[in-house]
Amino acid sequence: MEGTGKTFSVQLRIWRQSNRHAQGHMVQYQVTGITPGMDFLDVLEKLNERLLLRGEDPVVFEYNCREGSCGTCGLIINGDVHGPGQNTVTCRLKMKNFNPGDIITVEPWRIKSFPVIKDLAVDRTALDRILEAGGFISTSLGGAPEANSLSVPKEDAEEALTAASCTGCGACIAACPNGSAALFIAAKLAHLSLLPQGAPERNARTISLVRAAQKEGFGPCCNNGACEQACPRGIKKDLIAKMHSAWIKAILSDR
Amino acid sequence: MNPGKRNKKTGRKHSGITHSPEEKRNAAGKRGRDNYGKNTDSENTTDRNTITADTVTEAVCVPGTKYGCTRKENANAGKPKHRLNSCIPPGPLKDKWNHLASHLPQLTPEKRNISNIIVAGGGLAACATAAALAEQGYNVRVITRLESPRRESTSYLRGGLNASRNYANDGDSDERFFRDTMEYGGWRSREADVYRMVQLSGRVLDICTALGVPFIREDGGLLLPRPYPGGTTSRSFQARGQTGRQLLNAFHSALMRQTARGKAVIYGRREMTELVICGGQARGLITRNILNGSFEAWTADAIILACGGYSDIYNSVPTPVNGGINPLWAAYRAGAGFANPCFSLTLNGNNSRWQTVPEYYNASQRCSGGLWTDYLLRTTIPGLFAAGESNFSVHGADCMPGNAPLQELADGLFIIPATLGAYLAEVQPRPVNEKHPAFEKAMKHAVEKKNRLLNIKGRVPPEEFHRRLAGLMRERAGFIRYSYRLQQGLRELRQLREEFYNNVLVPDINCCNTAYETALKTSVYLDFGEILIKDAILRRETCGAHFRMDYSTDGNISKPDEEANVRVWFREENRWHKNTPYREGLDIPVSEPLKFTVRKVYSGKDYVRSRASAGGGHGRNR
Repeated sequence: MEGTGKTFSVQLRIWRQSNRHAQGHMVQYQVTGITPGMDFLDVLEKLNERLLLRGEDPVVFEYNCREGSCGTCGLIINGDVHGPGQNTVTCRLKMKNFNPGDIITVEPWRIKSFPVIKDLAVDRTALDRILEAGGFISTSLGGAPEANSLSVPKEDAEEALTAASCTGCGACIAACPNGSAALFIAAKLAHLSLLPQGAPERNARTISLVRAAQKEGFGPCCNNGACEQACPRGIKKDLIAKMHSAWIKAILSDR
Repeated sequence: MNPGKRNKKTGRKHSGITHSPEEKRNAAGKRGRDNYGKNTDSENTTDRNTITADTVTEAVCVPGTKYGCTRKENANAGKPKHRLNSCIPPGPLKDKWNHLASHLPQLTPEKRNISNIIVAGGGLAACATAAALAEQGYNVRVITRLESPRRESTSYLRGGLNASRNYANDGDSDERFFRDTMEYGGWRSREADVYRMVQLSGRVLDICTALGVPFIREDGGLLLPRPYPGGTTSRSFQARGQTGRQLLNAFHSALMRQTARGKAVIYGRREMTELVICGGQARGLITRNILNGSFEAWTADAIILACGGYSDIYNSVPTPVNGGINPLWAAYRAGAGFANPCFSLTLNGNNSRWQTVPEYYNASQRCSGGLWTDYLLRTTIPGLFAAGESNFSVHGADCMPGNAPLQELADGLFIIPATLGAYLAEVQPRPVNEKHPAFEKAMKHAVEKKNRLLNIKGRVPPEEFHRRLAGLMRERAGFIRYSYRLQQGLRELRQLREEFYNNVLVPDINCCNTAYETALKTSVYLDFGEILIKDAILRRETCGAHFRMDYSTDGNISKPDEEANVRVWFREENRWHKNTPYREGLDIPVSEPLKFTVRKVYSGKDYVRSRASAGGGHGRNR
């Protein structure tokens, strides 16, 4: 890819923070030799190799699959969660979205519940702790009923699958002015509660997940729909409405 | 079936590495020029590490009688002569596992409650193993590289999950699924292991459904299996191109249920670098904490490696960024056998595997090889088990679309929980703590390796070396392989290693030192690449993703051997090489012959002919 056509340079303004407790600040770097076909993360890697040779600390950022399925990467680029455009992922972002000479601001997720580990990497284990509170179907791993003994209406299965496609990247939370995990929880609840396997625990699960999110310091839903636009999987905010109604049902029911 | 008789048999001709005089003569006749007129004499170099038949020890495979071998036999086997006992239970294929599982010794629930198990890895196999063990009452610690198992590499898997349920009424059965799988894997896997995986497939599907994996369904609400590319039966259960994500979510949630109960704990952002052996048993790990760079020691009664594979050596997308090479190599260095170090590839959506070769040949998507395990998934080190991609148990068969997650789940949900209990009941490991000299020695080694890497202070970033190594591997040991190019690759690899040890630049940072992680991984890959290439050199055949141009009959049909072999590598290490972070050592290949009881229909030339005449038969997609 490199070497074909003209290359250009951009300025990267990157959030540098040496550890969780340190004071962070923005540092500007110039990166040259960029082609429009390059991934944005390639540019960061290019910068890192240069920093390494100069004896400076490379910028820490996270990625894994580079194809948008694992949910590891996540940056705020020019104020946009996962970069410009709707429903994108940072690792799929190409440099053709930027112009030569642009100043690109790169920040980590900015949420109290996701403390910065270093530079652009954040700790998102809060999401696992929410799931730990009840984001599962309690079934033993030995003797499950025959798979076809359960009939699930096709539409429910499809809807559950759409909700279940959440990778847990945290974009919805980073995009929300309240730092609310509503879309994340709503997707989990919709996935498990739509299926007959998960129905018996529906009420208890709704209550425990919502409470766990409050405990982790995530805010309430602000209904502005930023989460829906940021979600790389295109999960709709209707699920949040369903979660609210499930919450009321759960609170009013006996348990 | 006594060992002496077997010895005689293994001496018979096959294309493995134990040569009869006749075979040696044949090979000598061929030597000098391969099919492409290139000189292959370089096989004769006198380099210390060059493979000759002399370095090859013969393997003896003794089938177990009761429920497998007693481990004492292996421990006393003497160092240079590595003995392999696959411990396959007697009896017909379909009864082997059921019989074994119902006769294995078990631990009492009280004993399970006080047993500490470590699962190294965080993907599908690790989540399933950890959840199943914790449910049985074991105290499980999951040690993984990423912050959450949700982000592990299983999530890239797109294919499906196979189960021989015959919901589509197209004549599927355990038997047919088994044959398809053996065919797909080129008859390079143990039939007993494959049959067991196939038998368990239905139960795996049941559990996935019960955990809430939203498989595609028919209008009536029942499951809708899909045919896999090129297959004749519909046995692949899919979730709209994100089956891996859904399976991982499901088993991560099962693990979360156990962490909520307090039976399992996840320790994320830790990279396993050493395996600790106390009194001949695997009793602990040394990990490097990615967040602060410190080394930590962990003790356990038994250890399960479920850390995935090494496909990152080819650096093709999508493969795991750091992969499982560090834990695998740690086990290999500690004495575990490494079986069939090669890769398999899965081509998406096209039933002709060969036409698409130029585009896909470097897409090494799954590692067929891994730690050698017996039928009970025990490695050659007592107390160390391997599950999923980390073991070789269904070598080659896992490249059939939909079999990869099946293997991981069958291993993790059913096999390990049964065999681990048997091991603990039999061995009853005594308590150890981190003060044991073996831990100090391992810790010292880990720190020494780090210091040696840091002390190079060269001028080239480690990622550059990783890229060059991947390029070299793709070029010289990719899908299409020639003897002379493999030899050339071996020389280039050693040059690259030399250069790496002179010129790599590793910064001394404690928190999130990605460059150090890459350097460590690359240094291991530089060692591992050597056995990968050597194994390819020794493998005089065309099979699966190993296309030896100098050993292919008419360009695209593999030459089925009379007998196949598992080639198992053992490492014997001596000392540090000068100032470099390299441990001098010798990689010794040993072979375990594979026996097939159901093979006869497809033997030799009849194999090809029956395939041609079968038309759309189940043998077509090899």
